[in-house]
Amino acid sequence: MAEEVSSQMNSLSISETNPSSSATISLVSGDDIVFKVEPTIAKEMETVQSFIDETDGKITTIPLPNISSHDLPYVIEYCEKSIAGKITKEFEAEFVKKLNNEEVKELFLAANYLNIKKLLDFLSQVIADRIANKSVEYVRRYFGIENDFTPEEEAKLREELAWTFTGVDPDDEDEN
Amino acid sequence: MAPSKQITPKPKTPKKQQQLAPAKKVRAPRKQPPAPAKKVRAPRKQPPAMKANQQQLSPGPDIISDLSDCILIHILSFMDAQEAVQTCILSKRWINVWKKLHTLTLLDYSELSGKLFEHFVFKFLSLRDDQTDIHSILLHPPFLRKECNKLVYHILKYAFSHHVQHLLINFICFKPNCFSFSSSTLKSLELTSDHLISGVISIFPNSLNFPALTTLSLSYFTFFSNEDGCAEPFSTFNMLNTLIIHHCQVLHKRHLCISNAKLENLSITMCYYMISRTYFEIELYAPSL
Repeated sequence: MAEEVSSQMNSLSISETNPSSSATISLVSGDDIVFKVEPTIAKEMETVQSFIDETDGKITTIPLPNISSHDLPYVIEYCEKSIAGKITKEFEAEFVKKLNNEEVKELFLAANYLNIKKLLDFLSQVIADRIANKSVEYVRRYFGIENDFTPEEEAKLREELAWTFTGVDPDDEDEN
Repeated sequence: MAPSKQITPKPKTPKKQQQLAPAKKVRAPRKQPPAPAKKVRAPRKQPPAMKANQQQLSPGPDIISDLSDCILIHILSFMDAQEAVQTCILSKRWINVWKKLHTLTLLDYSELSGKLFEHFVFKFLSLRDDQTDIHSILLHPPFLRKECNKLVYHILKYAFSHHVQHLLINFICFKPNCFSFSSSTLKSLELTSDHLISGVISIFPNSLNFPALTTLSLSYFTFFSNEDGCAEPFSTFNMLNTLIIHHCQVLHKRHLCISNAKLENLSITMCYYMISRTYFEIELYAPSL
């Protein structure tokens, strides 16, 4: 499928070498949905922008195979707000309210991939907040981490790390 | 959840498309070594109950652990230091990640007794990767206890020898040895002392050597004047852009001189119940204000 997308991309990009078409940038999600955005949005996405710069603006269709059409609108929404200078605490609170844990993690990966510093920082804070004061078991479940320590190894490690586990509330009951 | 969500994309459009790949390195410069090769996961050891729980909270795969160290560290840098260190027990992948953390942030250490707190900080600094700079040290309220002088000195010494850029410390009383350092990397310094609690004044000395300092915030400090009757504690900070003086005093009613060509933001709050109970004159030369 990736091959298909790429050949399609190729033909698209050739047809768009006309400078007048640089008005919008087409972002193509991993599941092949095209999102047309203003060039200012692309500027917020360093990865996209550097790609455009590398090709002297001739290619305006950017495949983003790692980002799904489910996540991309969130990223675009955040970038739009950012450009408008409207990233407020209220907006961020509303924004994050819509996201479940999986979506937060996926958007984090998207922000990392696209190199959007503000979004990456914001989502890092969200993740940090969501696992704050939680037990190790909770955090493992949150990230989907499989515990590859043997019980003996873990016990030993906990003993060595008594200096950091002092005073920790084993709060494992907190629901998502 | 698209299984393609990995962080090392290889978009397959021809030619220049590969330019995309370098950009994924993203935020941190590549001083971190690449993540160790992924190990094949051991067969599941968790009891079924745990598995069920896991699915309830987090049905997706572990997409975070596969990220590079520098991205994991970026997440950790938004956490309290104690929590960040505790991530080492999540799995073998995480065991050493915290050691490259470039921040030491303690938001609320009131739960820890003085001894335990001291123990934590000493352990943190001695076990972290010594080759990694520490960018910021933030010890938020409550105030560190008076007995912590040795600890504060140790933190400062460590911070300055590891190219610290941002320092925020609340400490009841800063002794002169706290100011025996110079730094060409320090950009912001925020110190709050409280002589109302300690009964001892904290003196902010003249002519400290912090040439890169752009932001300085001092609360409850005392300034000393030179022979000419003028206190000039900030004159050496040529890059100073923001100065906040909150409830500070100048000993013996002398002048306070603020002469900083690049100063753009100045905030001074006075408080009449200071030890001297007197106001002082301020000579201000700040053409950029």
